[in-house]
Amino acid sequence: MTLENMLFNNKIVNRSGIICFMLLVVLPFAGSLIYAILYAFGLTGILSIGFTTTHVSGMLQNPEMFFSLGYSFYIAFCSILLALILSLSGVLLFKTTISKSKWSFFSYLPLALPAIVTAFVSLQVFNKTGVLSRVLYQINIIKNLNQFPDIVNDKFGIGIILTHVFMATPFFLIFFSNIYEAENVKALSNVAKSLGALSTKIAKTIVIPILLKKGLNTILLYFIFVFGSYEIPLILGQQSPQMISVLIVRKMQRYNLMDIPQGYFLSIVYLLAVILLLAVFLKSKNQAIS
Amino acid sequence: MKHLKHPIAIFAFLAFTMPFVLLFVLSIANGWNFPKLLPSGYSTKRWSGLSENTGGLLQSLQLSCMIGLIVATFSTITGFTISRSISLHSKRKYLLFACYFPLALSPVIYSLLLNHFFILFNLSGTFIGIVIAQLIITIPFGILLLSSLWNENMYSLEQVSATLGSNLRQTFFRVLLPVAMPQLLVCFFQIFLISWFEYGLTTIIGVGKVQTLTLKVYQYIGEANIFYAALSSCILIFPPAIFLWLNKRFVFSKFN
Amino acid sequence: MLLNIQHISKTFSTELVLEDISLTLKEKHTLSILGKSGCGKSTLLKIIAGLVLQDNGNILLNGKNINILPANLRHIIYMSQEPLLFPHLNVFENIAFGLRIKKEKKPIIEEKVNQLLVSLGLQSHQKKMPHQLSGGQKQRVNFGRSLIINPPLLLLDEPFGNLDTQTRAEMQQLFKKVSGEFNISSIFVTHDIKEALLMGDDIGYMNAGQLIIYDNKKSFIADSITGAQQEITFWQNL
Repeated sequence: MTLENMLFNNKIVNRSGIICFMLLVVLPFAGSLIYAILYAFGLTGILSIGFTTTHVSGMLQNPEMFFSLGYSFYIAFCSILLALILSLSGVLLFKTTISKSKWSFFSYLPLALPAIVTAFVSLQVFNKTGVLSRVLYQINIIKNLNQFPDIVNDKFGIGIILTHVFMATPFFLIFFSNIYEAENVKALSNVAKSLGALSTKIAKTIVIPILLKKGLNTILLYFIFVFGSYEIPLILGQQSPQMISVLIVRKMQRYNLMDIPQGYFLSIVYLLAVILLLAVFLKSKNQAIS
Repeated sequence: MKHLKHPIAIFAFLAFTMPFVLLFVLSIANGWNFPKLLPSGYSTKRWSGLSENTGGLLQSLQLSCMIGLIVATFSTITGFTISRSISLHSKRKYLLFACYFPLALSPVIYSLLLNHFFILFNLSGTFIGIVIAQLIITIPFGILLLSSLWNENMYSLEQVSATLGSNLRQTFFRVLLPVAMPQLLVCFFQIFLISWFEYGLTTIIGVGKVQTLTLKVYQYIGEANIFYAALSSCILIFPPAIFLWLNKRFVFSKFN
Repeated sequence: MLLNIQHISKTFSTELVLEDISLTLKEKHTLSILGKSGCGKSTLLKIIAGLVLQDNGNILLNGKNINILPANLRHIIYMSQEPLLFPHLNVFENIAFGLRIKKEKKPIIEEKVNQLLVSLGLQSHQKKMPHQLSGGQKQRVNFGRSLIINPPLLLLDEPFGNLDTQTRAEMQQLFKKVSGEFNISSIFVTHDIKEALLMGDDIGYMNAGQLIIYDNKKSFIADSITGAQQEITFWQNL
């Protein structure tokens, strides 16, 4: 219809937009998921011998997969928890100064660091001959290299967690500071203060609940990012256990062809975990809207 | 302002600027033996070596720039148009939700799953293959970021423009585009950074043949060549730092 | 006859929004239509402006059928209570927009915009951006932006609905003044009885998709469904 054409509401234009969306967004995702399922059950691939559950059961009997999933969950949980504690304390301490002052530029700086560079910096700071170790040596806290604890490539993933915390804290600091301003938390706190509430109580009952509730979606998404992170555990992690991304890459890039279907199966498990987390995300998002 | 003299603020300031200082110092260091705090000497030879393209860093810089610019431009344009179509669709909530999947997935795992198709179409290990693979991640990001543009107000402005006599082209170039510009710039900037920072996906789809800057950094880390790793890291982080400064002044302030 | 609307109807999915609407408008006249929100008045105005397509019926402008003429060729302006100024343009450029579209020459644009700025009392604000203006000032700019293209017809959908009482009264005066100055023909839709009586040369009442046009203001007041009687009794009993 000519009338509607004049307002870009042309059906053909809109439909081609949706078709592009299907081709560029939905098709690659669906295609790779279907291919992964076929591969994991032996229906395609170089060693395909028809439908089989050998790879799947092989993987299910191997504790490696569960260790890796649990380890990834542990890393993501600790990183986010620490980053939240630090950033919320920062917001409570500095209020909106973080987003408003001219110095705020510096809190944005870590956002200009890619994961791979941050991991490299961590390595230089925390390894046995790193900056921290040298400082401790110079002030006579340690006498030789071996007294410095294993922080990188260690069993508990301390280096990985610290690096994630370093990246996530400024992000959440700015994020919460913006919410603090947008939601007029200051005015609310002042009302509570005039009613006689103590500042610790205000923080506990007003500021933190508002910030966490408004930020829930972003926190969840960030959790998913850390859960599937690759560069940081690749550089700072151990041989075993490995975070899920590192393990999947190892399985699928190996020359042992038997490992590839297992890698595909592992990816499907990872995908399911992400879909589950995203479903929680959608639910909380809907609640936030209504 | 008094807050800024707080010991925690000073600690945060030092922590946030430390990586930049450390990387720069390492990039000009001559030897750095334990337990010395500072390097034994300094030289600019690595930086001046850049112009002679030592280790192909200059080529990697060009490559990362090219990929970033193409990916950011294309995703911003497609994000702008597709988000419009989606906003008019009756199932827009589900379509927008679908955009979260490619974003939330670890890019390295997603590219492993896509890799088969890239090999099938002979795109594996090629420049164009990397661009397409990155677009698969960045287009949904662009759509999500720009979907907030298409609200009642935008459609009403479009109608006002039409009744004042504008044809489609005029409405697009004189109203829609300038009104959307601040958000388009933010979108472009952020997608450029996604592409510029990407490592996992580039190594899988590029099979090591497309040597972007992030791959160089990893290669030097692997070789335990910390000075060149620092140099390539510097090249990788200074443009985003400058962008961030520009972005905060010209884009963030406009939104507030 | 400037505008002649014949048997217009419109259904959205299953809801009948406009039912067999007919009306006529003489040149330089203002028809005010009283109606509550949701009575279909906005849809009627949008159909006349070419922003929504009617299901059936005819629209004649100066005797010419404009049923499927696109909005940008009708030059009929639809103004809602939201001023909807272009946020990226200052006051001067907002007003000049219609002329820039027509690729009018620069001196002509300068002259016409300045003339309107004076008529609307906006000279001192011409460099300001929309977000720096008050509600009343925004609506003035909106008037200027609309009047500059000499529209054959202005459609006003509760244009002063968002303004406080005093600004509203000022704007009503201003509209009366510029209507005379620029020989404007208009349809003025409002839910305020006083405003309807004040602004219109002719008057109508709209309810649930149906429109009644009265011969004169007396018969409008006499008809009990318009609520004018109630209003009068209220003030008399005070």
